[in-house]
Amino acid sequence: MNVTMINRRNVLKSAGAIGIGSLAGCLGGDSNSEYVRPVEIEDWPPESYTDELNTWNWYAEWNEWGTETFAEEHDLDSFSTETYAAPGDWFTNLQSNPENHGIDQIGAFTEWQYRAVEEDLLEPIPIEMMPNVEIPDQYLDAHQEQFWSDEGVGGLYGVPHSVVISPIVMYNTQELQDPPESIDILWDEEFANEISMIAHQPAILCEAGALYTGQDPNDPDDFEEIREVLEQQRDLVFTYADDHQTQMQLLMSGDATVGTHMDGRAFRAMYNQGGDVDWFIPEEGATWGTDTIIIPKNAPNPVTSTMYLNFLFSDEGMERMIETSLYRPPVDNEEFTDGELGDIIREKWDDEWEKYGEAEDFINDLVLSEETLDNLFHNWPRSSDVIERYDEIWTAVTAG
Amino acid sequence: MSIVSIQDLRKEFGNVTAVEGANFDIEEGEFVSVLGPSGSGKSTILRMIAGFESPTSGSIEILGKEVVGMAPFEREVNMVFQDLALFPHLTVAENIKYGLQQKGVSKDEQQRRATEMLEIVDLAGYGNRDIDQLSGGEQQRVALARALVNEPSVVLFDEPLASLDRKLRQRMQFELQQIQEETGITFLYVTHDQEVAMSVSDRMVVLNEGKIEQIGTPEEIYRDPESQFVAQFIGDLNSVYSKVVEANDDTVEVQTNGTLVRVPVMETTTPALNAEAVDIGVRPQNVTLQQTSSNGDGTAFEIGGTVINRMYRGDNIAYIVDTEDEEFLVIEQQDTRTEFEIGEDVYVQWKTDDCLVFPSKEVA
Amino acid sequence: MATKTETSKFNEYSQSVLDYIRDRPRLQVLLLAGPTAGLLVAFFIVPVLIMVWYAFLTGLPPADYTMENFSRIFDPLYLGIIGDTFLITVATTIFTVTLGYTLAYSMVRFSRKTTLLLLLVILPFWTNYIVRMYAWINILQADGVLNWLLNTGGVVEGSQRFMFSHEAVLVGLIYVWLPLAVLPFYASIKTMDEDLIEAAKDLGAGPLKTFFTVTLPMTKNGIYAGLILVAVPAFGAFVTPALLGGTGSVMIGMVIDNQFNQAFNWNFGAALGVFLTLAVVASLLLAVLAGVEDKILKRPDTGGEN
Repeated sequence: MNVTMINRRNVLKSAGAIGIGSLAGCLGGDSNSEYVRPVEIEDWPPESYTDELNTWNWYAEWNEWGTETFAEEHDLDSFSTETYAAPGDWFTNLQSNPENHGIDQIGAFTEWQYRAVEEDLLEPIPIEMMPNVEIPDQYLDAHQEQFWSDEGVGGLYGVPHSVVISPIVMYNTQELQDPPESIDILWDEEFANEISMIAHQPAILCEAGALYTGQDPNDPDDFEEIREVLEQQRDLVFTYADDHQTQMQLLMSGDATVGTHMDGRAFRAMYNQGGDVDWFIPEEGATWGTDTIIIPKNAPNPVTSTMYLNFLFSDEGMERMIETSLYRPPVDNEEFTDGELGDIIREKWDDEWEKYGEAEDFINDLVLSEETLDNLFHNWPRSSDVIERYDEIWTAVTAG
Repeated sequence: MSIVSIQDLRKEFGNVTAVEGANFDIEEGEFVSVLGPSGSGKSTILRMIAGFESPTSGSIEILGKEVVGMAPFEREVNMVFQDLALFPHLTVAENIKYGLQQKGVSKDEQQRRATEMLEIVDLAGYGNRDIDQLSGGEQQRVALARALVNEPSVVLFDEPLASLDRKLRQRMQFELQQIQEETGITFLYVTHDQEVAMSVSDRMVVLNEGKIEQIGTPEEIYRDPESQFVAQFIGDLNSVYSKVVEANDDTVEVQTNGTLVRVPVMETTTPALNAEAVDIGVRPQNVTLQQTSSNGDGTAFEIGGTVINRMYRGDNIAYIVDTEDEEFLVIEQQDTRTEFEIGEDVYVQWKTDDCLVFPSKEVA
Repeated sequence: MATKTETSKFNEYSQSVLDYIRDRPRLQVLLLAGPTAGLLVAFFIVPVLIMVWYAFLTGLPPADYTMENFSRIFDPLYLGIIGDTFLITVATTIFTVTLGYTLAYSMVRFSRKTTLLLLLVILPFWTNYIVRMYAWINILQADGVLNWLLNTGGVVEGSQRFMFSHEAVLVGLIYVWLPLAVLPFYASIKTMDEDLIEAAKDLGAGPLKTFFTVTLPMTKNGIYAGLILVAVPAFGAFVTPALLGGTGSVMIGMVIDNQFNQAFNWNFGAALGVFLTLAVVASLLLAVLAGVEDKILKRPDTGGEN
């Protein structure tokens, strides 16, 4: 066993050495070369890159594995990974230090990416030339519309690496079996004081109200109605959970019978923790969004960062993302049902990944049929009016 | 009836006996001092009377009423603390009225008595000042007024003058005495300073290692100390170890420097008749220095020695003379005698009438 | 040789610098107070000014000036939350100060191992705030320690809901801020002259009267310090109510947090921050002016002149 390990490492190292050997002329004293923007990379793989990498990502486990492996393969001198406390931390950092923030790459949420684009803090990323980044249209179109650079150089501000659906309805299977798949269940008096709503963001709470009242959660016509139904629901609500973990615990322990959440968290509860829970997308619909990876302007190592981004989108990278976070990568359904990713999931599910439940169930959960997808709303962009009204409703409802 | 009556009082802290078998009474209007070196148990007695410590055994009666077991705030006594313990967050008048408030005295009456008390302690018009605006002496008077205003059966003093400089202390002593006479309230004053105790007290209780050595007026105690400790503590004392040749009821014949001397003995200090040796004590004021020996009549002691130190003290000069037996402290009035130089050979002399005879401290 | 000359030259030079400073008292003040003042300006004054500036803007700079952010505060919604926050703060402060004072008092008067006790009091501070809140979740939740204890002890049957309530928030806040109150209380009680207590008792005051007329007023500076140290952060709390609170436990700190992290309305968040800062400072000033001190601490009547 040990022997194989050593062999594998040697192979990796020599592969890296060969890769670097071919670039040797461009390295060394050239590491302080002038700033090359990702969109200015002419050939792939890039002719030269600097040997440092500093990344911020909320997907800590995935990113740690990623930087370490990437640094070894490319013989980087130094690399760092950080997580951050509040979703806007990196934005504040970039805004206050637009030139010396020292960050090469960030795992971001779409709403903050949007703000950063507005403030012109991001580099467009040349996804077309990056071999591993192959995102199917159904997931990429919305981004192309919103986040394609209009500088004329091409490139996308932020590359989506996972697809998240919310609010989904999650329920405890000890308390409830085969419920009707409608959001109405969250207003059912049968579950008075057994309902727990995730409310860590104003939007996720208000979206449930919008769906219940048959409105477009991205741009509802009648905010008052949303507020009314949520205030009416409040009498049935046991609590508004402020974080993912608490909400998962509440539903797994049966403290709450039914509640809202995000699909990735339902997967964690079921497959990582073996909780007695199940979930559905309400027939009224839900919203979908993506978590993305961005490269800030004035990143110290923009080319290395681009290469690392490409690495994260390799099969191995996606596999690790699924293993560590159980989120859905933006790939075609066939990749899960008949493709290589599906095979890996099935192969590693029990022994290597030590997950609960059946791999096949998880694969079914990952598949988003065209029908399902049509029923979903892409959650961005939203007008500042919607954001502000949602915030007011959230404040009024949770404070009441 | 005595104001305070203490019987067989005993206090132990762990296995240390702080006070042992204390008995004494204090009569109305008396100014009594409890005097002793530090650690002699004097403060413990005071704190037991005040109620801050409870005796291991024995009784304390105030106005004929047993107070052991009563809380401090239930006792008709007031204390002037060593560091005064004035309330810094209250004004002078508020400090003085504090005790009256606790008794439920009406506000007008409080005001009247506080004003009166401020006059007595010579602080009229100081009522609205803060404590930290006052000098040390003024603070002493406030502390006194705060105790006196309650008209307690007895005021207890825990060395409150100790921190003052000598001049101020003397003035306060004098004022204390005057105020006591004026008010007629009984004072019990604890101190280690024999000068203070002697100058203010009607009677003194001398304590040593938890036991009462002697009770009496300052004069009695100075003149006729009942023990060598008292004699040494109240004033200075030179003392010579002497072998007893013969002893009877009122004299003892001893041998010093080859001369036999017969010394009259007071009843109170009569050493055991079969003692082999005694300490002959003499106050420095009663010793004279002579250049030549004048030995012979048996009514005086004489010891030869050398002057080793000389201290000029204004109205007198103090010499320290090294003799075979002891170093002698000799105080000579400046005007009367010839002066002596350091290194000069002299004879130390004193009369047998001035002798204080005590059982010898040295083990024979 | 060369080094020696250099050293003496250096000494000479530093001596002349010292002489220069010695003759200039203003420069001395600047050198001593300068770094502190600089730090204050850089890390307190400037950020506060930036916050004030943002509060008057319509968006991230460059943006137009507006009063909109402030007028929005007077919406009954936000005033209501500020009112609730105030009530929770008052409750937290009362409990914390009472418990903290009792604890500090018994530590000073009745315990021998005060250093150990103090250490125990401070110890939770070395643990992350969030972790401590999750510890409380573990204690209070349905299958938590408290329910287990009550069930095992036969006090109740079945799991009780302690989490997600006002009480849970109160417990969390008291727990978090108790050490901050105990330390100044401890210091002020410890340094108080014990003779004053004996003096009061000697003058006829019973234990309670002694406490209220002497001990409490004598330790008032410590009490104020503890009071402010508890009330101010409790007023701004947002993690504790978010984690332990249920429906209706929104505190104003959560609203502000939301403006910065969720609603992208930094300007309204800044305006709320400015408003609350002013409100806290103003109420402290008012309390001092109104002489709350004397009323709370039962200062005896001064009566007439003397």
